[in-house]
Amino acid sequence: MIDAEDIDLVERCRKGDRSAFERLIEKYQKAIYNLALRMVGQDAEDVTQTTFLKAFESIHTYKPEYKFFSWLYRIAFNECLDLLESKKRIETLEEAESVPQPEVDEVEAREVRGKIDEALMELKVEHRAVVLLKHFEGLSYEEIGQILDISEKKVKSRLFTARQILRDILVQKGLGNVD
Amino acid sequence: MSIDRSVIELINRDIDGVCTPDESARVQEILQKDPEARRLHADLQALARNIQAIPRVEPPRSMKPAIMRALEAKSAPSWRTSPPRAWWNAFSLRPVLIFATGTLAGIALVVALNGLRLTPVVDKGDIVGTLILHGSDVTFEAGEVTTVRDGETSVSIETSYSPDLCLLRLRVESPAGVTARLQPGSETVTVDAVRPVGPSNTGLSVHGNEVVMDPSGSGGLTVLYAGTGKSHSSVRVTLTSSGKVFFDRDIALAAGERE
Repeated sequence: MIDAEDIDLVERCRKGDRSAFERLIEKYQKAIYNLALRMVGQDAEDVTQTTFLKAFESIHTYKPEYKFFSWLYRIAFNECLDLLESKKRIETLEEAESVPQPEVDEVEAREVRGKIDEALMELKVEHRAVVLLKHFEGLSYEEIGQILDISEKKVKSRLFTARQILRDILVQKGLGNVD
Repeated sequence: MSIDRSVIELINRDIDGVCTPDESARVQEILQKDPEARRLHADLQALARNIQAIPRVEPPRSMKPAIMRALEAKSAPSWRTSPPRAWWNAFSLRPVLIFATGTLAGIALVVALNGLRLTPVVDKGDIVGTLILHGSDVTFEAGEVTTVRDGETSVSIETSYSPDLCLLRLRVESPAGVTARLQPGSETVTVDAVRPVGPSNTGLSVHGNEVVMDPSGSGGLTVLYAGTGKSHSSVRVTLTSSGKVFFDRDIALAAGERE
């Protein structure tokens, strides 16, 4: 479903209303930042800022028939890919460990999630992207396809493969059943 | 794995909640009969649930102001979009400009000879994640890193410098949190810009020419100091954890002045 508030905010942005863009930042910065954090680690802040700057510059190209956040995520993912490509960075386990974890009550649950976070960072970028969009953001195959510019069939294929690899990595880490 | 590929796909579709009623019934049937398929289903279901449950991190408070400031900076100077005009054209066509340009050059020379410079003063508006550099060609030499440890607390201190601009970077790992107090030891050095390091929510505050990183567990900050002359000045670094000062020393930031 298209978010009517987003359409209104985008319209106001196009007319030069900065406060409307501030509202869009408030609304989506956390989601973009968290995705970027798990895609590029410590560069998440820069990626998030660049994403919003590029979104503002190209706001006239946004088509209201698509969800605004899908369009924004697409910019964010392209930024992540560009950054990873330019740095030729291979995300290591060590970097995965640097992703800040907020305090949670249950130590065991935190440990499991920590290992899953690490395992995510070991996935190839294209696999990590579909897993995050599916399970972290709860998007449909169609929406993921729009963001990554791939077919739904390919989304499913990548997602199923990614989950299998993730499961294997977790088994290696001693988490046979991740429940 | 001995599970049929079509069954794996069916299980994945079930995890994603996109099975038709017939497919769902078939999945249940398979799970009842095949323990390996049951294990795969349980693992993938738990995996999906655990990824969903990974806590979201709050973006730094400075994020939105930084974006808005960058937008302002990008849209302000329209003259930058025009191609630069060759300066010598002005001389050949407009003699009056020769005089004007010469006067300006003279003023610039006087300013340079007197060592005058615009000394930026840091304020809370500068703590937004944007470095303020004097010129775009400033480069730092490889930093020198010192690690200070006190129990479970670890602070790495990295210093770099150019002739009149110094950088001090702290990275803190501490379950109890660390208060870092940075105080320039000389009036010839001023705090120029401050930014949090990495995706931390490090609390920063500035009191005059002094920067304090509030106790917030792990995190870091980068401080740029601008100095005049050769900038052989130092900064006093005081690190406190759980009310105890565990590091209190002057760190020289320029060549030949390191401790």
